[in-house]
Amino acid sequence: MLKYILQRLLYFVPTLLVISIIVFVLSKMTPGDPVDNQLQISSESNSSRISEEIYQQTAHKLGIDKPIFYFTITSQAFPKNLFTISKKSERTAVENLIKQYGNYDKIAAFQQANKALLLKIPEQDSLNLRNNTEQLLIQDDDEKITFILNDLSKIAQEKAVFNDEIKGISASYENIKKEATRSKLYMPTFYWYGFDNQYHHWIAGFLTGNFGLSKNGQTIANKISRPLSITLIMSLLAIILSYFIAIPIGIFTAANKNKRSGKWLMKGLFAVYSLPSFWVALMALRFLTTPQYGMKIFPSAGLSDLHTEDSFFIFFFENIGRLILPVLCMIIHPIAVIARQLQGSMIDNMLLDYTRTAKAKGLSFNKILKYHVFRNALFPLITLLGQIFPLLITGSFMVEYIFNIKGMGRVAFEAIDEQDWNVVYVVLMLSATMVLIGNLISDLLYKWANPRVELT
Amino acid sequence: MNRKLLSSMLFGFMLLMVTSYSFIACTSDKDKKGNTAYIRIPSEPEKLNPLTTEDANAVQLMSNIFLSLLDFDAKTLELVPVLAKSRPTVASIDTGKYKGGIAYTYEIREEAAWDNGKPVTAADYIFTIKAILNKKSGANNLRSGLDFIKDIVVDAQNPKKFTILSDKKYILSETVTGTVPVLPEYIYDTEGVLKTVSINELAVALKDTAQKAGDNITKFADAFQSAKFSREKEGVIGCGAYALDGWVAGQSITLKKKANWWGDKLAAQNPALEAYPEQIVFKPVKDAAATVTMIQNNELDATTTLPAKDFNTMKKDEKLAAQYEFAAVPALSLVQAGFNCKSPKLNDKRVRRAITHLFDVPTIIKTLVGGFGEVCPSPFLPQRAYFNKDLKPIELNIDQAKALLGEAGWKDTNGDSTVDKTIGGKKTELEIKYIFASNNDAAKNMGLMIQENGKKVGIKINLEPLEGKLMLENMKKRDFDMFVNASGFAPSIDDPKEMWASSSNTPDGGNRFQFENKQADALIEQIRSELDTEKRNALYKQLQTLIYDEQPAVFLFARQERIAVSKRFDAPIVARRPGFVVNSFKLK
Amino acid sequence: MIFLNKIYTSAKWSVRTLAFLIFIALFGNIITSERANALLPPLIPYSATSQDVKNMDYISPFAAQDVPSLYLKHWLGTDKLGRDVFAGIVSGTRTALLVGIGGMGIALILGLLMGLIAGYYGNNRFKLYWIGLILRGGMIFSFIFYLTIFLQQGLNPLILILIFIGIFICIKIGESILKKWNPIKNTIPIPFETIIMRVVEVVQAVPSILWLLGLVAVTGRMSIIGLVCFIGFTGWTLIARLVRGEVIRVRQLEYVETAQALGFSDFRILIKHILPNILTPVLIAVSFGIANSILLEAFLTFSGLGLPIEQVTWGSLLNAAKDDFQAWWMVVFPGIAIFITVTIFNRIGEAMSER
Repeated sequence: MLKYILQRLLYFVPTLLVISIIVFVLSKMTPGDPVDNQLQISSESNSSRISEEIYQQTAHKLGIDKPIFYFTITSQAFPKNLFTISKKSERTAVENLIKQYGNYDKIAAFQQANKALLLKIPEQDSLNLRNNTEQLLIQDDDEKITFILNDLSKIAQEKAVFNDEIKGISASYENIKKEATRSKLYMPTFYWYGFDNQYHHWIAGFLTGNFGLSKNGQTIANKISRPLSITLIMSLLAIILSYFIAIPIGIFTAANKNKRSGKWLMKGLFAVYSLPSFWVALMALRFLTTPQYGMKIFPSAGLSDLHTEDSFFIFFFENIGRLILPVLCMIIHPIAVIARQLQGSMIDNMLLDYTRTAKAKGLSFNKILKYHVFRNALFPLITLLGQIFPLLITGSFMVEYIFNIKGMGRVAFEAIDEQDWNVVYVVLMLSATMVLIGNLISDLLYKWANPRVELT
Repeated sequence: MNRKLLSSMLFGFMLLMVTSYSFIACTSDKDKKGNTAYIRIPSEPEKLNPLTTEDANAVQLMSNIFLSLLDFDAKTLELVPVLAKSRPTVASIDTGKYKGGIAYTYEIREEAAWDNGKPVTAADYIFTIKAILNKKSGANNLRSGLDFIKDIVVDAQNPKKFTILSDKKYILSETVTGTVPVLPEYIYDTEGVLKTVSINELAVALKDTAQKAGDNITKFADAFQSAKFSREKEGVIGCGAYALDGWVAGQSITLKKKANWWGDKLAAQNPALEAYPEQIVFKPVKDAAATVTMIQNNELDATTTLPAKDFNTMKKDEKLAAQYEFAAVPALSLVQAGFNCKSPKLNDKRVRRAITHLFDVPTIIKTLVGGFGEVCPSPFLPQRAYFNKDLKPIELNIDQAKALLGEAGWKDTNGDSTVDKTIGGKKTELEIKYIFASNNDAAKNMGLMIQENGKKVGIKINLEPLEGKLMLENMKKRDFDMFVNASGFAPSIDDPKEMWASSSNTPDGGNRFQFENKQADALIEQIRSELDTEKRNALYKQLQTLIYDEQPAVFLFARQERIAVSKRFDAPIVARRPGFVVNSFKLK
Repeated sequence: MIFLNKIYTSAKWSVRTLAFLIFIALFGNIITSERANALLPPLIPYSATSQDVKNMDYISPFAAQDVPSLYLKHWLGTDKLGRDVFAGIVSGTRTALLVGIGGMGIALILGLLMGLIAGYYGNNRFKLYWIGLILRGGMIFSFIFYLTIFLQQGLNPLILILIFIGIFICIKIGESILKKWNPIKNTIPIPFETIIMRVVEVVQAVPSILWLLGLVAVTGRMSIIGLVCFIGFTGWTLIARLVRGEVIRVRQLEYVETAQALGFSDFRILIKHILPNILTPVLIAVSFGIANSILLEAFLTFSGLGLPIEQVTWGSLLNAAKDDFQAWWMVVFPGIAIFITVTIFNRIGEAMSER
């Protein structure tokens, strides 16, 4: 047994590494320019004007001017040094052009010609050349590029400025289309980048306990310690309560499967399950926490005001009452699932051969349930327990949001939303560990429920 | 076994409920009385750095910690002196390096002092300006407004008196120089790093400055952006009446009144220096429903952004009306649907006008924002002195829209119930890509409404909700035909350049309409350097008429904010955002 | 056929309701329409997207409505824009069934396959020869490579799947011909359980929103097929775990051991002896999963990552209830629709796993 556990723990290492790679690479694929994000430029800001210099500086500070991973497997149409285009919008445009035409050298020449013209345009640009040229650098749609090129050549002809340059740009764009090498897109190739890459720097820091800072300058430990403790309390309560409530219901409905009481109880659970949990939480908040409708049973939303210095126990006892309603809202869906699974699996086991044998031997119904049916029927519940185990870290965003509790659900959601990756990575690696632990625990519980099970 | 298990589990559950309920009983809501104001803010600030943080909630909070030379009067929105003795004396410069520019002379109040007892001097102001001009410090937005400052000269006799020199006339010079929050040099720059660098050196590009200066600049900028100066009470310090006392993430930010604050003596004459509450607790509550229940439980003293329906029901509720003052105040924000004026489909202003006729603005205001909006057909706020009242709101008019499309040459020739036209030898259907941020519910519903109206005239409107970052990417690439957003305004007069000048039409610029008009450009330049109010207002009106005719965007309405303020305090509702001023909450 | 007949006799009402739902999904457009068609007037005189300007801003089914006749009444109320909720539910049935059944169907197939393999073969019951291992590895790798290229280029991945199935059949035929030849001796145990369970963990540990953003980054735009595949991809892990848990329980039962001793083929044991004994928890999970995918669809559409925003679905109706908590009809009626779906699939699942 111990050997099995050790072996499984050993598997944690490669699994977590794979997860870290996937999370890291996916995070690099999310939309938005990380520099804009760092400088808090949004679609609501009046402009996103920052100088090239600050852009490069910020990009360097964020470390995004390096290749993402040790190697890449891609098609031959893509060059090895694509990452050196540090401006995300330009890089995306180049990538999309490659996907269309497959000839990087021609595309690079086109971009080069654009940049050369951009440098020559005077600061006080009365002809609106700047916008057109800057747009050419980030466009990837043939129709739009042609439109802009037409516009540019019209200006060039009318005002007789930069005639040659603009003709050159048009010619280089024609080149891209004429000399497309799309077949290259279907040939795989392998590029090795070495150790000076983004993932390497991040994981090296991560493994030595240097998780980086949150976007607001806080350390990660500082940022997640309190939300984590709140979520641990809430989720632990939720898991325990949901099993406590669901197991008796499951047994009851299984024993009374064909009676009216059992049928209606199950239907009631389905009905509760069919209502979205955010709505149930909203209703509970509206009706049960205010004197407005005469049903102020629970304290109002949020947690009590406490100081940062207060110890965990004071915090716990002050707030446990305020957590009851949110926890109840968290468990209404799991209860239905757990109870139904237990019911189904108990009915199944009651019909099995060994149960029939036991019945034939003259054992009482209750004894059969206890010794033969219940333990074997626990299997799906054990699987579900492993499944909801990560809840300890992730919490429930919806309930936390409605009840104004800053738990891990909100921290994680907001961090992903704001692309505060250093926070996201830590939270995700923690929850990933929980997924693995949950899986291990459920495997061990299978063995406990039925010792004849072999674990390999 | 069945029954035994069942009963034992039910018993355990009951026990759990009973114990937890006893906890509920003993943690019943405490009475929040006393001279502490509880203010709800819709989102928690990430940082409290007065120069880099732009989030409106943080700005509201920081206005209690930091003071500036001048500030907008909450009621009249006029500039009034706060740290300065009076508004600056203005003189034009006729000779020397900065010929044609303007000099502003400020004098700081004698009483004004930092927490260590030292007076607030010109040196602190100069330090603040340097911190902003430092390109690495992250104050990008403030810097772009302050780049006209060429030098600051301190009076030889009086260290509290100084003159700001600029080399050009600019309408907002006084506003931007006056409303910068003044930071204590002794806290934010203990080693005096920025003393070694001159304003001129900071203004030019970093690579040109001397190596040593460059190092110092980086050193300062890194320290300035650290958590100490944005989240900790040892770092977030100003000369205002309140000091940061505690910050529990996700729950509360507490400000405490300073003992023996210098401004107390002056509060009687200057309402900006009032500071009545002993403590101000800002509570971040994101969800509107939770806010409503907290109001119903009487746990908050003031809040903004109440949902329209709840606002109306609560206002009618006698018990709540006795506890709270409910009011709707202007939010200084305009909702607009911008066009991509250069798109081949939309470069004809008749088509833009036709689409404008699809918007039923009064219904939009009534149903989508609960009636809390004011029709505004101009790019400027209705409460501005130079708002052009002659502009008629454009109404829902399907026939007119059809007629305009016909005039512009759009007809349904292939019977697919969408109008089309041959542009550049290619048949183009009038399909409009309408983009909006996916969390913007009003934009979504508005889109659904004009989509239905569009079907009636043969315009196909494709709605595309985009996640915020994707929306920005699309806007930069001008990959849209229409976009919806709300633009916020400062209390000061408007500088139309960033939004309407053709030079701002670049991927990163603010002119996302691709609006290019020579006449408008000339008007904007005139407005920006015209210091005479009367003349300037006339120019503003001209510009509005021009933009109204060109229709680069559908100007929809000015939003109104729904607020509630507790009657526990003597707290006037004011015109300035967010509609109340916390420091003048006087306990009854 | 006998199987279907058994389900029908055992869960008559559920099968009938499902048929009714499918009928509505197919003919929703005729039932709800603004315009009268040639044959008969539509049952609901509104289409799901038509806006009744006179009855905007959440009109309750019981409140006074500004309608000319009882026929034109909004029987289940209206939403913020005056769209008829009844019409919305009827026309949303198609999406709900497509997303629910399609998504969970993929999850069921993938989860059953993976779970059965992991549970039955364990770590050392399945053996393969060297070259076969390399061939299969190369096939999986090139499949993933070309899948990303196909998705990027907007080509139909179905062609790719067919090509690779063809290649696989060729390999199989080649193997059966060369079976007696010496190098094709299965000697290397494939640790299926370890591999599949680690893959399950990886898929579960990465939050679905990140998977989705990655998918959107590769394909560009989401379609209903993409949505269904995505729901299948995130849903199969729980099913695989449930299946594996059940299989390792059943594996040691006497009749399975007897069947193995009798030398039945693995396929026969899996289908005939194991599968019927493990279906219950799987089908329960699927029926709850259908409800979840309907809600997930609404969330994704709401965030701009799903279907066109003007399409009315059960989930989009539910979402609207966030806006006005007093509009109970926006939740209760779609909730009833989801309730019916969950209940009938539970019942049908029960009937399927009955022996």
